[in-house]
Order: sequence, then structure tokens, then C-alpha cells
Amino acid sequence: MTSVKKIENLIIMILLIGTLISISLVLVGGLFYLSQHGFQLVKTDFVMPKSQTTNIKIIWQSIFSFTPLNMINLGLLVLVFIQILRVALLAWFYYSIQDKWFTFISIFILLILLYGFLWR
Amino acid sequence: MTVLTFSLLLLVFSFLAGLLGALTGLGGGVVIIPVLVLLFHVNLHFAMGASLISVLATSSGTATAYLRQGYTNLRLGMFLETAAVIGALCGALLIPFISVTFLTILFSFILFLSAYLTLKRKEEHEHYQQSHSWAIILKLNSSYPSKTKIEQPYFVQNVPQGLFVMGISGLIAGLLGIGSGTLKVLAMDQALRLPYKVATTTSNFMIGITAATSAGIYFSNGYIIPSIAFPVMLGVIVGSFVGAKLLINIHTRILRIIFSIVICLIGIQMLYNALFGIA
Repeated sequence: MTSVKKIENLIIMILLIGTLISISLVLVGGLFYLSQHGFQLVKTDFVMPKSQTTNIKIIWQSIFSFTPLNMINLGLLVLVFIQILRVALLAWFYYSIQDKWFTFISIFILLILLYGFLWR
Repeated sequence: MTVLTFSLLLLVFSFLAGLLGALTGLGGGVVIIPVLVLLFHVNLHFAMGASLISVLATSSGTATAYLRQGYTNLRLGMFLETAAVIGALCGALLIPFISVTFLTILFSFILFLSAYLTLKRKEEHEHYQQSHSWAIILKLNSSYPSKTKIEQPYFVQNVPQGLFVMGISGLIAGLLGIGSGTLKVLAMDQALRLPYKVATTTSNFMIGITAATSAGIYFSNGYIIPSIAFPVMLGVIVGSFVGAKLLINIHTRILRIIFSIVICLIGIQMLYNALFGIA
């Protein structure tokens, strides 16, 4: 197996593990949420727009209270993080095969992603 | 309706969204937004939040399968993504200066034209032996698995045009919050003349990255409601896993027909929204 193929397989493995972690968190959080609220009527709570704004830092701080909805939020954040990780791994991949153009392209996209993620 | 019924129904619709998204490269938002807004009367912003989650889930659900199968062209995807993210940033900045209604009407007509062009192309009759000079310099040419299990090489055409359409795709996605996957597939199919399955799978790889750019903003604005997002995420991801398995055996012609029907429906929906002020 070539070193390029090995790195590609490593990227696939990391992405798969990340996706499985994300699914597990959302699934467990969702099941707990349904066990607590499943037989309640759907409230207009999420149908009406909420006025308050939040940010990633606030969501992150509340996540470790481990309520069902916070577990789902953590799973969703992992899902976003996988995309960032995907680009970071590609940047490392292109750097490792000394492809200067694509290392630059990957880092450029990574910086825009991080800016969008940590916005506000 | 109970929360359980709502979640189960949303799970089923999301499964279909994931399946369709994986096969067409469009992401799951095409199904999720109309279902949430028209059927469950969820606020459009929250539907857009759920749509973003569905795009991330489709991209994650298919990325590993398509990479392993050898369809996704990573280099091309990353190269084109630079124009898409710049376009998305410009789109966000241009929002106050552009009539969204005019743009929505224009985009819906672009979709009808695209559906026609997608159906018209017969890639099996095209035999390119050379590629655009940029594709050679950037090593964008590659190969994909054919039904005979023999790797089929392809040669990337018209790179600057593809890059331009990709920038427009990002711009429209930034302005309207929709259409990113549609134009990505079209740019790769119509401008770069890629095999259709390579176009849809590479689009699936890219849409997750484009969606992640807006994720922080959506979370911060409170558009992502976990109780809506969890059945969407789970349904879409399972649907996209199944879609990724089906892709190998589905004939390209059928994929083109599905894609054309779906983008015509999006076009009609957008035209209706623009003319009657739903969105």
C-alpha cells in the first residue's frame, strides 16, 4: 500500500469514527428527550422565532450539564467539527505529500471555516 | 400531534431527504424545508437550520463511502471550494444591496434551464482525450470505477468556467441560503464535463464544508433547534448511507432524470415563494 493510500484510509477512518460519535450522541440525547417529552403535545415553542441569540461558547459551556437537548447539541457540534477536521486532515495530507498549492488551498478554506464557526 | 409522532414523521421524511441528497449531490434541504414549513408549519428560519443540519449529515454520511468507492475527486473538490467559500462570503456581504425576490426568480429560471441541460447531455457519447491546461497543472484529472470494475479515466474541461459557476453557486447560497449543491453539480456536469456520478459525489463532499461555514452563524442566531434537528440528523444520515450504497448500481440516466425533476420542483417552489411572498 502506498503512503498516499495509507493517509487516505486514515482520513476515512477518522471521519467514520467522528460520524459514529456524532450519531451516538444525537441518538442517546434524542431517546432521552422522547422518553421525557414523547407523549406531550408538540408545543409552539420551536414554531415561533426565539428572540435571544447565543454563540458557540455559550452552547459549549451548557453542553456538559448533560440534559437530552444539550447532548443533541453536542452531537450536532461534533457533526460540524467533522467538516473542519476533514479540511484540516486534507491540509496535513497535502503537506505530507509536499503539494504546496493544495496545502495553501486547504489552509485557506480551513481559516474561513474557523472564522464562520467561531463567528460572534 | 405528540412530540413522538412529530419526531417519527420527521425521521421518515428525513430518511427520504438523505436518500435523495446522497444520489443527487443536492443535500437534504430540498425535502426538509418544504416538509417543515408547509406540513408542520415550522418557522422558516428553524427550517433553514434543520436544512443546514441535513446538508452536514448527508455530506458526512456519504463522504467515507464515496471516498472508499473512488468516485469523489478530492483535489477538484478542494480547488472548487475556494471559489464557493469566497462567493458565500461575498453573498453574505451583498445581502443589503440586492433584491432577493429578483434573484430568486432569476435563479428559478436558471434551474429550469439546468434541468433541460442535464437531461440533454449524453456523456456516454463524449470521449475527451485531453483536458484543460489548468487541470493538468493542478493534477485534477482522475478516474472512477465503472460497472465493469475497470477504472475509467476522465479529463476535466473548462476549469475557469467551472470555477466561475462555483463562485456564483457560493454567492447564491450566501444570499438565498439554498442552491449551493444544485449549482455545484451543474458546474461539474455542464462546465467541467465530469462523469455524472463523479459530479454528484464530489458535490456531496463539498456541500458539508460550505454548510459548516454558515454553521456558527446559524447556531449563534438560535436557528438550530435540537428537538427538530435530532430526527432530521438521524433520518438523513441513515438515508444517505443507503443512498451511497445504491449509487454504484443506479444507471446515470436515471440519476439525471431524478436530479432534473428535483431541481424543477425547487424552481417551482422558489418561483411561487418569490411571487406570493412566502419566504
